[in-house]
Amino acid sequence: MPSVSSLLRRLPRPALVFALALPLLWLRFGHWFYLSLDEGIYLEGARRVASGEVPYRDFFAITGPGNFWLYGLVFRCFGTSLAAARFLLCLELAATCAAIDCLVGRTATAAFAAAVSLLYLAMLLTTLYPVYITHRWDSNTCALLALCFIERRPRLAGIFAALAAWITPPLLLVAVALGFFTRLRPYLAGMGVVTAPALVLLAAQGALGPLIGSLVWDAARYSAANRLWWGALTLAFRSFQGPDLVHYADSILPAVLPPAAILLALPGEKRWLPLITSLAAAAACYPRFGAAQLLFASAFFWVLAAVSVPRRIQKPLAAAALAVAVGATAVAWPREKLKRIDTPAGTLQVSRRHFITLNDLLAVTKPGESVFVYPYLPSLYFALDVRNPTRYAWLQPGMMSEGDVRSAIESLRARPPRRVIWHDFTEAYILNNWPASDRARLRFPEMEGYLQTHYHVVIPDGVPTIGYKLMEKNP
Amino acid sequence: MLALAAVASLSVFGADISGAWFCPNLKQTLNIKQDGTKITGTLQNHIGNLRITEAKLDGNTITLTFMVVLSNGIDPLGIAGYDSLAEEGQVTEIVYKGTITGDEIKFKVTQERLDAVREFSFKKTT
Repeated sequence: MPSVSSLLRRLPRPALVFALALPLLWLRFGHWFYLSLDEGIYLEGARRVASGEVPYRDFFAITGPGNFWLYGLVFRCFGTSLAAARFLLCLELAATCAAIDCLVGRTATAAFAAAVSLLYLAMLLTTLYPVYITHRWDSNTCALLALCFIERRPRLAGIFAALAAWITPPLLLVAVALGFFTRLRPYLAGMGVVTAPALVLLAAQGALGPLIGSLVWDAARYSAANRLWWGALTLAFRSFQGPDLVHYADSILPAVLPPAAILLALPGEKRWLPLITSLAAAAACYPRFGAAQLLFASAFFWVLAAVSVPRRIQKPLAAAALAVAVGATAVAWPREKLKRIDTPAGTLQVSRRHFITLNDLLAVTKPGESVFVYPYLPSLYFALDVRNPTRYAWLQPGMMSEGDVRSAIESLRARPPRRVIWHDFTEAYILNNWPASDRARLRFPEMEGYLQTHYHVVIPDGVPTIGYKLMEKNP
Repeated sequence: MLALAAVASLSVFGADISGAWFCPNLKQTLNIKQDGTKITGTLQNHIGNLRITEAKLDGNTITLTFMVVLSNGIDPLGIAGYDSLAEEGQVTEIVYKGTITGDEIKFKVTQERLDAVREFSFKKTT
């Protein structure tokens, strides 16, 4: 009977990296939840898809439909919970680690490839940037897998490239770049395997026109309001020692790594495939080139940098990289006092600040009841399992048009929700997050007037709310 | 005597502690709702109205935790900060741990990061 060690030796190394990464990612991100701006857009959209709604036609969306379909399917199969969604995310991130190992290992030593993939894993485990459900993790994983298969299995690469583009349309850039490095016929056939049924489904659901409308909307409004300079940071750091030093390094790395990798790659043996696809992946981050957004595409640059390292120094670098990966994870593994809270989306682990908010709101709302969260905190729809009567999961100040706001108000008139949760952004906060916002539209007076006229502030049990207003419909 | 004590503790164990409890010291009112083993409610005192965030009833011992937000700033919900460690400084926990005897609860109260322990006695009013 073969021993465990001999079985492990027979397994391909990327599989071992995957097997190591998955439980660590699950431990870190499986249940950890915070009231982020964006995760709720995708969780709520997936929940609506799982209940039979159609993106663009029934609810507003600015990304491709792939993310909603993917997580909608997860919710249909495994129930609607954060854990179900996060498990898929952890699978994707573990697959990214394995893909890095696989791609680097084609030209570098095995030890160096493994060390680089584990260093990437350590960065994920210790980063302060968003490791939660967002279309960009899904699509960049698919794009990296396409890169992995492009030379030997172009049809499979085509499938992954098309998936990436259907999740995040700008990643079509990577799909096009990959097309120059492979046999085009099987590659396009692979893309067709995904694209043809996607088009048929959208057409059958009457969502093809609304999808085109959404892309036009993006071009007109999203790009202008969401511009961020390369490497823009939104985090503040308290000190530069211990965990903070690791967090600081993690935070600037996504912005620093691309130029460093390109500088490293240019003088040496020209590896055009990783170079061109990395540039395409970075370009696909447009218009937000902030460090948090570049993190999603950073796996491409880890590969580019690693394959450009001369072979003679890979051995000592592998040892150093492994030491840094283990050390950084040990030092910066979060030690905050997370609280467990039972919600309709499952048992979540949250910071105490968010525990207070969720605990207060769970005491007031009931699953399934109609609540409008204004303007931008869609995570609450998911965590509280309340129903949004409008097609807008969020109304981003400085971005949404008057038509969007009017449409939301019409929905509120037609199906008045029992409660409104009004998270009152300060203008300083808005401009900190979206510096390119239209400053004339940081507030939506028409919506505010409607809510103030038809709803009144309540203070349940006399406990004041902090950071938001809870409102109930006037009798 | 032992038998009486046992009967008394049994009656406490089975008692419903729902209702209003008052402590003249700091004029505190504790409103408790008990639904089986689940306890919810609020505490009104000099800080304001606080909601019970965690509660545990074990025999005649009750532990109530209240979380208080200390600071707000431009992002009072802490949604822009991915750094939940930074959020820790925004919140303090106050723990009321008490023993129920009939219509009285004697609490020892501790607050995170403070060494002081205060004792309060609450009487059931409704």
